[in-house]
Amino acid sequence: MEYLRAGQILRVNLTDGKVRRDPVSPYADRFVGGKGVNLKILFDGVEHGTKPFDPENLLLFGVGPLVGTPFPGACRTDVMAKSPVTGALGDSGMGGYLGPELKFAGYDNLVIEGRAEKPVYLSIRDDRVEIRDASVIWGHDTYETPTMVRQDMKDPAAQVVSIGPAGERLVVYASIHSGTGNAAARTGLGAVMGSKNLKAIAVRGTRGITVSRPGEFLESCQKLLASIRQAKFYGDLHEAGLTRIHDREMRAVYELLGTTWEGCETICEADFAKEHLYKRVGCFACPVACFDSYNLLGAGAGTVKCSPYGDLTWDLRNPDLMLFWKVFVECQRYGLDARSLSNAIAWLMELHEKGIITPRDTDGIAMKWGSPEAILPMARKISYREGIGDLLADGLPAAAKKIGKGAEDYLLITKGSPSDMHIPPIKTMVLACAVSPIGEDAQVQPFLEGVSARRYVRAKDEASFEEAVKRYKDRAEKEVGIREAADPRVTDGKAALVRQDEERTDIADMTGVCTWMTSFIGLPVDAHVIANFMALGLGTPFKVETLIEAGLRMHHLERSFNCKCGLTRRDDRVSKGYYGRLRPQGRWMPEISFTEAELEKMKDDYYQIMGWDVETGIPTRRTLQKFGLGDVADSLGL
Amino acid sequence: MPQFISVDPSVCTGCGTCEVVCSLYHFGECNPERSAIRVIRREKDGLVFSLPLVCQQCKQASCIEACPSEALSRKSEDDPLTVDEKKCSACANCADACPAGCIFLDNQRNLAICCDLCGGQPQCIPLCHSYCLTLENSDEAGNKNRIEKLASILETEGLWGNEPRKGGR
Repeated sequence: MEYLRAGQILRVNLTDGKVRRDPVSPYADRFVGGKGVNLKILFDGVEHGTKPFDPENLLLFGVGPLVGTPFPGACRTDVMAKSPVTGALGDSGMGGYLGPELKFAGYDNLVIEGRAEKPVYLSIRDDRVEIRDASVIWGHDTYETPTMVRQDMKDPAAQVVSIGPAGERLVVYASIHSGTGNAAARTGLGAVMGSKNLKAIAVRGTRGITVSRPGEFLESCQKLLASIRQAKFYGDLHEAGLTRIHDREMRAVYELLGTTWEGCETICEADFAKEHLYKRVGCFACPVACFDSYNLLGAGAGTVKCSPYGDLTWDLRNPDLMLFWKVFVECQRYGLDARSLSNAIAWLMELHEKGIITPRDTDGIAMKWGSPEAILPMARKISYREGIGDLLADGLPAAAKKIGKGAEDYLLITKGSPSDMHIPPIKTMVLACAVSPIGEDAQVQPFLEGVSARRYVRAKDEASFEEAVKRYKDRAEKEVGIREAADPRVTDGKAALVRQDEERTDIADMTGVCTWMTSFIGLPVDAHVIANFMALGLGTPFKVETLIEAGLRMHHLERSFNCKCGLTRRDDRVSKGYYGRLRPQGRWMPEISFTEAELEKMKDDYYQIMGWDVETGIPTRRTLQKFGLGDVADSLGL
Repeated sequence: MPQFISVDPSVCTGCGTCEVVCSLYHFGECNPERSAIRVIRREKDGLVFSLPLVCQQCKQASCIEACPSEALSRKSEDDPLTVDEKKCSACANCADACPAGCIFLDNQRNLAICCDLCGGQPQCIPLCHSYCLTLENSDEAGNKNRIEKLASILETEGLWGNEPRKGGR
């Protein structure tokens, strides 16, 4: 019996309708599960010359070994393909209920290849896998689609994810959505799904996931829940979602960025939630339940968490949360990444301010900062490729080329992917973005430098700064062996901090645990906790070192896939817009920002830690072999 | 009177932890379809409705009355409902008879499945993060109301007759 895993990889070819089932066991030891297994299949299955919208591209859904159990927050599905945004690795995680249901149906991974002739949806009911006609459903949004699919299947409890009009029209910022707030939003995976003529995936499973030592597993779950409940932020999170924490975060971030404007101090997510909250909901097995549901007359209903509040207010200088809500609901319905949308709108506003574009370029709309007339129509325009939306729908670098006049200089992107605008470009964050395999992973946010940078900005003098950051330097020394890593003015130790944080997300992504159970928001799940549960679940010893090594192996493989797509060291950069963006309290403080030379220095350090060639940024054969990836080295011609 | 698991539908987030805890404790596997507590979770227009259904240990239990093979019984007045595995034919009459459908079928063993309170310490309760579930003592007056309350929520939501996730044939 295979513990913790459902046991099978389901492969569906939409071109010829063939369905195949492979065992997951050959992958399990080296790649653990979820994102790790997805990645190996993607690396082996997608060739260098394959374009993101070719039928040969693969769309993968991977579910980790802890998903389906009561492990708190183990609910994630990793979605992967070659990305139309970056032309390299496309990867986005989603929570919700799809992952556990896939496992209950008997599958750890789902691989979709080929392209259907006409719109279809995929129905998976245990062994019954059907490619069903979706021509009537095509054109409907991601709220209507699940309902129509469930009616067609005659099963109100099926778990459904779908694409909306944006994915159907191959908008590169299209996402894959559940009906209630979960989305694989980043790197254009909804467009890949659209290119396959696949409207939705519906799953219903009736099988079990076995656990080797159920009694101890349950007892450990109880203990872990108790320790989660004791964490400092937990009470706040459970009661108010991210709203209160995010209110403080956004103020701190914009203090570092130095952009303030009239009305920004009035933005209060917590008040909005207090006044309008419909219900607090959450993902499978999650003790946090971070989602806020709203049902607002005239503005629409939906479910949201965390960042979109800030994306569509602070980043656009819009103080009106009701406007945020209207736009967010449209993003949900159309299946569009809210973060990419907000980045695109902000870019147009910047171009308008600089006089590079006029209302004539933007369908007669003056793209003024914070203007509701400018913000409101854009989700629809991009999703339906109307007017200026059509230009933006093929990606911001392409749009910048068409606009010309130096518009490119104002982009805030990495590897073509629109960045999270409220990540301050301090050294660790810039390095993390530059070396990220997907352009930018907002889950990787090294803590120690971020908090020290804030202290630095507020410090009266050097002595008070040193006093304020002593404990962070102590931690840096203990955790990565470099005391100065916590000093925001030097490049020392920054690569080590980035790697430390990547390790945290690697492990969570492989096992299917939400990274929000970890130190990311002050909760106690770490590699030791996860390894312990793996051991109880599998009934065999499972060392924490094994888990960390597997995470690193996955990271080498992510890099190798990008190298296979032609990316090297020179692609590990951030766009011009990042430089000089940090102006704490309006002052220019170059010492806590970064220069090109500093970024290159940090990249050297990072490649050395990873065992990659410093000249090219490509993993060395020696490193790949050490991790049992000799076949990958062969494939890269190393 | 036996104890019962009381449900506060206003705080349920629909996470389904209780389902997998139940089946893991009783059968060593995580499987909502083999659980004695089942969360009805429905998505509509971007919103979620969720409600855990679990045996309310009615004194005058319609499931017991509906069972043609006398498979459902209580050892004593103070004990929870039990299913006699030898007698149960999985006809699902009990599930249909319960006003809120709080007794289910385990299709793997082909038996009815009902909350047994885990021998007095229900495992789902300490792992429910939202304090939706609590172990309470029955009182005769509230007896009928409990199950009717759950049934009326289902009715209001238009979920009755909508085949909630209860197994069945």
